[in-house]
Amino acid sequence: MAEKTKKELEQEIKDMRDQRADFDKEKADFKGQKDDFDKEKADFATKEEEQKETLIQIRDLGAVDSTGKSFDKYNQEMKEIRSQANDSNPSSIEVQDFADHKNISLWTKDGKRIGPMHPVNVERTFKRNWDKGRILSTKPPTPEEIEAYKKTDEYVLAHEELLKIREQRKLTLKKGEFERLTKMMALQMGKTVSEISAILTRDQVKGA
Amino acid sequence: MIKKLRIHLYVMLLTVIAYLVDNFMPQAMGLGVDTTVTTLTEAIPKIVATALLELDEGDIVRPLVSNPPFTGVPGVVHQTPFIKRLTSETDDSLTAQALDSTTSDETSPSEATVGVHGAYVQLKDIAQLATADDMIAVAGKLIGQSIVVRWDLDLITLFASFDTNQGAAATDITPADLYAAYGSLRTNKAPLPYYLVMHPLHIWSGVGIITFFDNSSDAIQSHGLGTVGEDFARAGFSGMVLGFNLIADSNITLSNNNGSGAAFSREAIKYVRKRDLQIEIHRDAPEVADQIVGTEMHGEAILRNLHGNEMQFNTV
Repeated sequence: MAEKTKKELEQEIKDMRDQRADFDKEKADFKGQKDDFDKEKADFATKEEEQKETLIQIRDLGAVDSTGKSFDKYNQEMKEIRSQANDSNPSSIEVQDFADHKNISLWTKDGKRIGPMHPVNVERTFKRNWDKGRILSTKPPTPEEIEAYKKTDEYVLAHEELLKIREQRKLTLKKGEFERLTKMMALQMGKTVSEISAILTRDQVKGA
Repeated sequence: MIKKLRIHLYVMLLTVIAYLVDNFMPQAMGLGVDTTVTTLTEAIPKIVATALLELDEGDIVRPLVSNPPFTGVPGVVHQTPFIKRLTSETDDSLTAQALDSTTSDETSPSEATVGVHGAYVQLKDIAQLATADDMIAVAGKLIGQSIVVRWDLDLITLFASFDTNQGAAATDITPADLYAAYGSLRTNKAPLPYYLVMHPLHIWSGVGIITFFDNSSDAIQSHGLGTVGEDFARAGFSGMVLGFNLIADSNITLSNNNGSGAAFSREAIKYVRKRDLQIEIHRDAPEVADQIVGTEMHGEAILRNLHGNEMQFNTV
């Protein structure tokens, strides 16, 4: 092979450099395209997420979409259809109680209900209680009236009497026996209940 | 060599054919495809079993009270007058005493006014034709049940009108309440047997009668269960408790976990029946339906107030 001249070698080197430069340019273009593609992919993923969120909002928050549909509107119209359909419901079976009289209730001042009873029984009950000094009413007392009644002497005295009876009757239960015993002992010894039934900790025990 | 190769090729061909037949032919022929509910839903009929009616508490209190006859006699008010007892003289004065009905222990007379009670069902033809059950029979059952419950409720609502109440609002039952109730009935000469009708939760709950016999901290027994406790422990129930025949009735109304049962003798309450249950069926052509009506006539009243005690206690 004939030796290449200096000029030819220089030309070859120049060509190779040009090719290298072209190649680098192509590489850069390709990278640019890849970046664009990645960006498009990320945008697409973001759009998809946003669309999902929007659908969830439409479903959960009743937001109206572009066609005017919403779950609220759907439920509202179905309810309206059913309420109109009730007027002509062919498959309902009505069962009705009836009597030739109306049962009436009486109420005590502290809100206890007596009845409802036949009107004749109501009159007898009302009269019997009236004769014994207990006034009943056909109207239930309001919470304010009950609270006011509980402050009257009549209620306070009756309630104290009731509490005494309940204390006496509770003696037939074993529950509270120990507490009653310690209370009695404290009274007899002139001490408090906590002193009688106190259990000392390890530090409080002398000589331990 | 060629022969071995042919054998290998043949085996491979058979394997491929077997694979194809196994995996694709069933689908091609419509076999081996999983059936889903959606493909067969229209062909599967719904089987409707005989309907179950909701249960009601039955006729509990009526057999325990006085049932004087009132059918076939005129009048709608059943009156029972009371006559005061005579007092034995302790000396020779022998004062004349009148048969006096106005000063007895009880309010005289005891009056029970009969009322008409009923239930009415309008049974449309389309409902009868469309249902699997015999709806006329179901309607009859519903009417009968509602009237029986009405008997019980009308008697139970009289419990709160007894003058003596052994309990109160927000009060738990104790054995002493039963002692006091027994003592009250016996003092007022109420004849045995004595009944104690309570809500089921008055009996079976953390504050109920059952706690008297389970040897817990509320029990009245110190050691062991005792025979009544053994009945409760074994069967969950005891027929008699502290002198009373114990009966549970869930028709007793509760309010704020509190309700009123009663301890009473037979003559505490009277129940009078004018006419028993009667069912009538009437055709209602304009409504394309049958009207089924059940009616009966009865009345009830407190007879001897002193022979009953209200038992108002907590259920929780």
